[in-house]
Amino acid sequence: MEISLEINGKTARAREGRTIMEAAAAAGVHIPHFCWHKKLSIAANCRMCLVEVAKSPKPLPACATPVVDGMVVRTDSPAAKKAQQGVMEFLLINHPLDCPICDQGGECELQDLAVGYGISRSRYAEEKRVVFEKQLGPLISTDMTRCIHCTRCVRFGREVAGVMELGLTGRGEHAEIMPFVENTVDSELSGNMIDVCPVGALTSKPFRFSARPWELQTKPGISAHDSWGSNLELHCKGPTVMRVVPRENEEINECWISDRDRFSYLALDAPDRGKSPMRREESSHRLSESPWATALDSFAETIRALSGKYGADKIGFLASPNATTEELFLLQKIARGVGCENIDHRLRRRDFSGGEINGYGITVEQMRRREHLLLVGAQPSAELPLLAHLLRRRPRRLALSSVGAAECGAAGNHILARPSQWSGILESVLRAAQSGGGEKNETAAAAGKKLAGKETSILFGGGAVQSPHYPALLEIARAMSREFGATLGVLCGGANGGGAAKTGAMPRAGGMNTAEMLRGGLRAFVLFQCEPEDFAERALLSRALGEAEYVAAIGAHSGGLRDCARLFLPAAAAAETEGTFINGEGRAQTFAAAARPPGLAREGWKILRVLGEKLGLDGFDFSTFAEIRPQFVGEDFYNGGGDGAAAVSKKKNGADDSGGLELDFAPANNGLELAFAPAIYDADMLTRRSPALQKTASGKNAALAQMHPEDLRALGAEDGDWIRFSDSEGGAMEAAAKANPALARGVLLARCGGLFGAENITAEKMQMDKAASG
Amino acid sequence: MTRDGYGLEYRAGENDKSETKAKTGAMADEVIFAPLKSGRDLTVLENYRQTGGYSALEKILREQTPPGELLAAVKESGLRGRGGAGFPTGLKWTFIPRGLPTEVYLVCNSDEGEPGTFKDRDIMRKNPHQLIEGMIIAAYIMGANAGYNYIHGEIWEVYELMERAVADAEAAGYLGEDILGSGFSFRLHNHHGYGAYICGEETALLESLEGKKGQPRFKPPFPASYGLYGKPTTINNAETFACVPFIMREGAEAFAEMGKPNNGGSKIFSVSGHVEKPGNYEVPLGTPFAELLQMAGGMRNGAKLKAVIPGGSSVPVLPAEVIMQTDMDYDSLAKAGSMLGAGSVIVMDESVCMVRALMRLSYFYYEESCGQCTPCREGTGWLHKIVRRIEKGEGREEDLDLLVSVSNRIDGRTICALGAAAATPVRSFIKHFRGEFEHHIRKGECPLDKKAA
Ligand SMILES: Cc1cc2nc3c(=O)[nH]c(=O)nc-3n(C[C@H](O)[C@H](O)[C@H](O)COP(=O)(O)O)c2cc1C
Ligand code: SF4
Ligand code: SF4
Ligand code: FES
Repeated sequence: MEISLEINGKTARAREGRTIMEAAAAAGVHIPHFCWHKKLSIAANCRMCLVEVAKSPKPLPACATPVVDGMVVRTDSPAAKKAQQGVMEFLLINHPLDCPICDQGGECELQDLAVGYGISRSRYAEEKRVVFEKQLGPLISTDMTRCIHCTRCVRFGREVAGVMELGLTGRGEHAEIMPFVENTVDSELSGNMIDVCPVGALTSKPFRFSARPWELQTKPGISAHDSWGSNLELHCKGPTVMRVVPRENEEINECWISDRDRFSYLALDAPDRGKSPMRREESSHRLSESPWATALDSFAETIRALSGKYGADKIGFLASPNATTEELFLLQKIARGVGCENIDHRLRRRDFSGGEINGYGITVEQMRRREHLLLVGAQPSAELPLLAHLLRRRPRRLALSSVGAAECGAAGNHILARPSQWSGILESVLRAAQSGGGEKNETAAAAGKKLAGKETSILFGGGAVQSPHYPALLEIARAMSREFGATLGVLCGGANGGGAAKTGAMPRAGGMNTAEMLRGGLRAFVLFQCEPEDFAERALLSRALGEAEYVAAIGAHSGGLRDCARLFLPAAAAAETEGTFINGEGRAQTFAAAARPPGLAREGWKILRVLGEKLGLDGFDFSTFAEIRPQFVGEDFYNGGGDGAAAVSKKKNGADDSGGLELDFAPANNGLELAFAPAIYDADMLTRRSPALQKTASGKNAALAQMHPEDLRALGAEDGDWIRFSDSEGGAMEAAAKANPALARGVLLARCGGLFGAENITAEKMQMDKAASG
Repeated sequence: MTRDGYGLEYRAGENDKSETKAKTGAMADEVIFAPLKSGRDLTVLENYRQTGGYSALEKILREQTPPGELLAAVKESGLRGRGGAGFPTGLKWTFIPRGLPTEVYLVCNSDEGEPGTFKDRDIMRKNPHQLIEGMIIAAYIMGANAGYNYIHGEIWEVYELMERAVADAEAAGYLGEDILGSGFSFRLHNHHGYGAYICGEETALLESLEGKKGQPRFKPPFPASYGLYGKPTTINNAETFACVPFIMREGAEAFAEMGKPNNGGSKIFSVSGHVEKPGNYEVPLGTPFAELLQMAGGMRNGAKLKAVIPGGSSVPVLPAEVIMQTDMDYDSLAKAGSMLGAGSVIVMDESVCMVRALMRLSYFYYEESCGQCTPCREGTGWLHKIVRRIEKGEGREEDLDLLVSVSNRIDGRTICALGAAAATPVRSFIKHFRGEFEHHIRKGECPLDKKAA
């Protein structure tokens, strides 16, 4: 119901239940505040927002006082001003006046308001409080003496990040914000605390002391790390990105971004950043710098020669799903121009049978409202941190995965199992939905009953898509889709999975997909913005690259391919180029370059344009970015949102009437199975090279082989012991172990460096002497 | 809680009631301490029964008296909250929504931490079952099936005693499922606090009960709509509940008539400080202070009265000449410029340095502020530091005005009333004893030290 009130003499209308703060904001009246934050619960503790309300003997906090009909509010009367000035004085008495050396200077809410509400001389003549700084990890710096105890950071942790990593301890003047015991702040959204802190108590550690806000230019950008499509603001000093903060978009990321989005920019000047083209002569072991012209010519010549010698179908083109739509369009155009259909961007997949799903199948907004979300093989906090935030706010969800029970679903809504058991369980859920219960596994039965007849979206995470069982899972999901209209989607498509699919960066009839290319005895590979760590079968890729005659890499960093590439062409990273990303919803977002690529590096689209031209292909004689899009934009290119379900290739399915199937969810094998949960800071070339992210707890864990504590005990091993893993296909790897009780039994969560197989992995504790040398 | 409070409390416990009675009028000890006149140990349930205890409850449950009728009696009795604010209890109990399919909780505030207050522990120590009976009746009135008694953290033996009393009441069928076959169930849990003054503030108490840091909540919503675990909750002081069996047994009128209009019933005053017999005295509201002082044995060693804080450290101090003319009830004390508060009468003789006394009080609030809201967190420290400076002889001419100004900037702008409680003593001490403060500032020393020397 709408009510009417008076604010500063003007009539305003507001919905009942709104606060004075909200009503005033809607009426264009700004009320000073610190603790209030539109996305957090109300604390009403800073008292900066005190206003005068007729008939109330005391000033009232606008942020916490609900409007009532006929209320008369004055935010600027002498009484209100007096109250606000009084609070400001209190806030400043113990605040160090160290603005000249404070990183928040210039964007500090306290500084701003002090100018408006403070007095120039302090009446406070006593000693000031000093609070020791806290060690919160590699991302956040603290200067706790500056803290004004607004508890925004505490509420952010509890309400948004999902973990209460900071709390207000102590009382009165001794009240301090601190982590629990000596913990660091480890949530995947922790960097947002820097933004919510109104003062310089929590600041960005990597950005510290590097620039003043007024020196920075603000450029819009889009996240290049996951399929959410978070909107960013890149703050640049000249040609350099100095920091990244969220750009508000209510429909997507609200006012948050993941730490990955915030701190990956640090990789832009990683040691192996490509700044010059490099070539390796057949006789040499090293890449050495080469002029652009020579490098480009050599590429065209070699590709032509190899096509002539072996046929163009002996070349493979592999591109990152985080490349821009324009880049992917040009890359596939080159591939097809030289007569090659072997092109793919689905690097983290093993089994391509069973059809294709692209995108979420629904929008983020729909995800928020959907009756049920069924997550299969997803680890939201690592794959899509903002999905994890969305899930925390909606209790109706069911998750099936091998890792991270707590974060995927509330108790009773989560089934923890090894990947080879998933299809059995999912089938059981389906049957329970059809028959209304009666399944052996209680969770599955309950889940099935819940899903039946409900608006459900099935979302596959990386753990499912990378697994050899993905085709089976897809088949059951399709049956669910037929049974109760569930939509299907994948979460792990990369920043531009949508663009990659739409521009045809995947094989058509006769072409090879990623798995086939790795096994197809190809003679040459062209890698665009990717390296072996980006592949599900990275050992296999390394072998294939080693056996090929020619490897050309185009990318921002050379590191992962230094040993095998014959040619390296330095390209711009996402922040340095214009481009378009199509996120999991199917939403296209075009961005401009925020920074300049370093050295001789060039935008990917420019490099590809010249390569196409050098190869003598048609359609490469354009000169501006704007000329690319019309080449691929069709009628409905930009409004293809949420067509994932429609894109599912219809395949005959026989699972419907297999009611009598005996299911005990036994794993398909006895050895360990790979969990395929991509480590959050091993997601792509940039995150892998961000020093700050690598120093976080999650960053450090990525290098470890994680297993269920019981499995580790069975090996006679404990945390820190080195384990040797081997598979039946001759692959092997060694890694230090870490017990992780959030894993299913029988599962190995690791960077699967040297392994070819995904199942039947055997593990053995290594001898001490070997461990010492390892 | 201050250590001084302790010493007093134990002395109060040893206080011999029969002797007190001999010295004073017949009206003392009528409500809560009345059964004590039997001379029996009332912590024994059977003894309490024999003095008429639990008979009110039994009658109500037997006759299934409609709760509305009982509520009317509480209203009629004029009972006002004994925890400090003096809010009419009957009115408060009408705020609990009825007929909702949700839990309703009843909470007893036995956290008394206010300097000068030591009555609730004596109620629990001497007559625990009257409190329990009062809570059961209140629960019956409001339809609560679970209740909590939050006991101050530094009186462990009282907590143990209450645990025994609750167990005995359960064994006797007064607590638990289907009480006395009436179909009404009520479980009572004692909860042991940890001694933070702020946990006596009702919403901080609820937070603490929920296992969180004891910090007041912003109100509204009030506990009656959003209380313990988010459910409608009634919270009252222990003395408030302990009055209820009397009202039910003897009638609302008897209770009301005992005091003055709008100030019904008797009140336990915790008298401490420079009197001969510090202790708890239950007298009708409206008893003149002079009479109360006499009950407490008069001034210690015949010293001269200087000032009295009549309701606990949070209420304004009154100089001797004012308090000697004042009756001890809500309205009279308000008229005299102070408050009844929790009925904690701190008596100070001429040897007390008011600057020192204020320093001690301001230290208390500085240490006990929960630190949540700006004016109180920052202001209590500021106040204390200035007063401490004055006491050390380093005061400045402008300090007194600054103290008043800072106090005004705290008062009324905080989440809970602790801010106001910290500001009040500062303003009243300066108002009534400005000269003494000025002497400290100008001369850099205490006039009383000189006298003593
Ligand atoms: C800082 C502070 C401390 C308080 N401490 C107590 C206390 O120890 N005991 C108490 O009964 N009420 C205390 N109160 C008052 C309670 O908040 C509440 O008003 C009272 O328990 C209500 O009970 P009543 O209506 O029976 O008085 C305190 C209030 C404040 C602001
Ligand atoms: S650290 Fe910052 S956000 Fe947290 S309470 Fe202090 S001022 Fe507020
Ligand atoms: S007034 Fe003091 S005690 Fe009360 S909430 Fe504010 S800081 Fe805490
Ligand atoms: S913004 Fe309202 S009290 Fe802080």
